[in-house]
Amino acid sequence: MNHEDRSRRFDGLARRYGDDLFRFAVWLCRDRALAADLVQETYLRAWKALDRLQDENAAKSWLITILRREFARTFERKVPPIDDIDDVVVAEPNEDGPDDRTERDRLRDEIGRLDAMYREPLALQVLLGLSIAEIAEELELSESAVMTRVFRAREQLKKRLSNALPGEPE
Amino acid sequence: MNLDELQRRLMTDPAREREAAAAARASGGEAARAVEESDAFERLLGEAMNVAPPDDLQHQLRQVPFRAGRRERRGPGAAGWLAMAASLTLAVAVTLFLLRDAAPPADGGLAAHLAWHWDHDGPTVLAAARTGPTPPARVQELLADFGVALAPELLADVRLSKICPTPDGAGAHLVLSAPDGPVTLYYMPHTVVPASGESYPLADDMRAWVFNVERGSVALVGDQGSDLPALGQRIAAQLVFQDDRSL
Repeated sequence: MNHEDRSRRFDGLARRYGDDLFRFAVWLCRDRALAADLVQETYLRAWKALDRLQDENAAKSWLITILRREFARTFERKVPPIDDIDDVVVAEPNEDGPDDRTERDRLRDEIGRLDAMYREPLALQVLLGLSIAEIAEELELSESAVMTRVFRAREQLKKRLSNALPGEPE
Repeated sequence: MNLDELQRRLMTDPAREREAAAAARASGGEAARAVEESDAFERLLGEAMNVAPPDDLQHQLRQVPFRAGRRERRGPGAAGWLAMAASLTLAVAVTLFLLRDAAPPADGGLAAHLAWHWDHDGPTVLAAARTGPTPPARVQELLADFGVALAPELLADVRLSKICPTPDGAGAHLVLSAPDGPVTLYYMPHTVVPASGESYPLADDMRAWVFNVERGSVALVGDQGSDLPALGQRIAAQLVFQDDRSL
């Protein structure tokens, strides 16, 4: 593959998955600046290994794997303790009223307080559209374990929202 | 399917339970209400998780091949340096073009740019830097893209480094651990200020101290009590400019 084709292929991966990977990274790091760096580092590694990606349909899971490995390798130890997820996360602008925003902000807070074992599969499912089987493969878990985790993630979020209780400490 | 089973499925993988949800809706009663509640929750969940990416993320990703090429070509001789210079020229040109939307209006001047830049991500980056130093090799790799390196004493103080916009293209954004507390450093490789050693007020009771260096300029951002001029003098002596840089 010549440099031009390689660059075009790389640009396509950046356009197609860059924003979603950033969103996933935010919930992994719970920090926007770290998430942006993590995504850049992910794409740097992807660029270097691009020739090894044979199947374009596998690109998304390939990038997720690189990102998670990079997170575990250098970024995980830099994640700050969470005080208020609104300090680091900026919502998409929309037309909703104040009540909707309040509820969404409360939910965002509670997602940030979820244990990583629940937050990560939930983010893979909701943001990246992975199936239970794909999440299981990515996280090296059984499908039933993933089903339990995403169920419990939703259960905890609903419970905390309806009770308006502060999040449990991690 | 009974109600408990329906709710379990909707709590596990709602996007793949469309048929069950449609049947439940048609049946009415508690099952239909369970589907409505699930739909509302999933909508809210999607909105809550859907955070906005930085304006310049796509631009930063498109720069990755240039950065990678710069690293790979380090030290290969004259032909390699020429190729690197061409890549950097292109990268800077692309940066200048693409950063127009991420930066303040071109006629806002340095003061407006610094105010915008601090508001844009200053406190967030500062907070992220609290957790520990960036690996020195990573800092030097990033700065090498701009033809500058840090002396070891200064390198040890860097808590975080990233590429950032400047009034004249891409630059480097560092957070340093200084005696008076953390200080933000913007290296602006293509910006030369007419009055070196000038203070600019910023939001959050912060100020920027801007001074020219051998190539471009540096803005140090700290609180009002920080001795930024003294720190600036130390930093100016600890920036090492690479002779082979042709941009």
